[in-house]
Amino acid sequence: MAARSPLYYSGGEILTATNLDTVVDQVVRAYGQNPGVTLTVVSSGGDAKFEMTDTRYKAGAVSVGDGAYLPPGQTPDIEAIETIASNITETVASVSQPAASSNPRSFPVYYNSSNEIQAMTETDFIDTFIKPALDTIVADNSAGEYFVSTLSTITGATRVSATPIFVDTRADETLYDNVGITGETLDQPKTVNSYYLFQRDAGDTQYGETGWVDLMYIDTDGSLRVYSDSDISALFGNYVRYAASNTVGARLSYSINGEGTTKGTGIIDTVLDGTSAEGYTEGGISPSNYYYAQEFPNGEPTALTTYYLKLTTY
Amino acid sequence: MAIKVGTDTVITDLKALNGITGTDDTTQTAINNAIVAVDNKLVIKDATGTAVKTIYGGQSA
Repeated sequence: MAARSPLYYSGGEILTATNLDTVVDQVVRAYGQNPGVTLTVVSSGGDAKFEMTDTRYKAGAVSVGDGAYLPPGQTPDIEAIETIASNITETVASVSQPAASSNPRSFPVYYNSSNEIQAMTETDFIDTFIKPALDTIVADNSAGEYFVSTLSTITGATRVSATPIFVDTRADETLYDNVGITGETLDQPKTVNSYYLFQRDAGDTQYGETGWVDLMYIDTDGSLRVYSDSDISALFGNYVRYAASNTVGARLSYSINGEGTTKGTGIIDTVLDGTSAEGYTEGGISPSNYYYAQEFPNGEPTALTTYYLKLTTY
Repeated sequence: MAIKVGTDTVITDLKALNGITGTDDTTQTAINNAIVAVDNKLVIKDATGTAVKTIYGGQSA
């Protein structure tokens, strides 16, 4: 089986379609209206394949020297705090094979190698219209896809949840400024960025737009008929949802840093890049002649890990 | 020499039918079989390859 060049009706003639881009766009739209693979934002306990780690440093414990400051080598180091973000679950719809599969006249017609007009098989139909649409959803900014942004609103898309899927925190270096004789609070973070999950809205219908072709099927008496908009829309909608969740090679799957195309902005986990010793700070001296010192998070912000939401077919 | 029915010419001197208003079953069958014999056809098949309709037509020389 293979992709076919479907026939269409135009101005009293039956023609072979050579460009199906507009029709495929309609399939993409149909997917966007009722996706077969959906992502949900949860407060915790999401799928393992979406886990990300936020890392930040906290100050080391204060050191106390009797009569002199302890050197950096004897003052506790800064420590990394790692928080696992597990905020996304993926749901693959349980979709039965559409009823059209049992009718050998359901699908659009094409010229076979004997120049006969023949209805596509289900596999032909999927190869011709559905797989290209799902490939488009993977490759481009398409209806129904999920993507990541730091914005709270985006035209043409809907934020899935006000709960971020990842919060990048980092030591707030401006707060580590006074060891005193008690030491600074060890963990003093700030939020650098919050990342949200969005879903792109379905676009406008493509019926009658430039490039649209009136596909035909075989009716009950063997005649050729042009699909009504509602009939072809149902056929596309049912099958793109079915294939996205069932058809090997066309099924959609999201992940973090897995295979596929990046959807949206990269999710950057930043830390301060200074060494612990570089953050060594001498503090106060107590009346008992104890000397206090501490090592603070310091340096410039740097990306420790960048995560990407990926979409692929499998 | 043309053939006339009454005053109407039905076959012209150039051997063309002229002014024929109908055909009987035998003639219809003969014409239909002649068109089918040319075998210029359009076959419509369902997805299983079963022909659901065959349409015959004339063929230009």
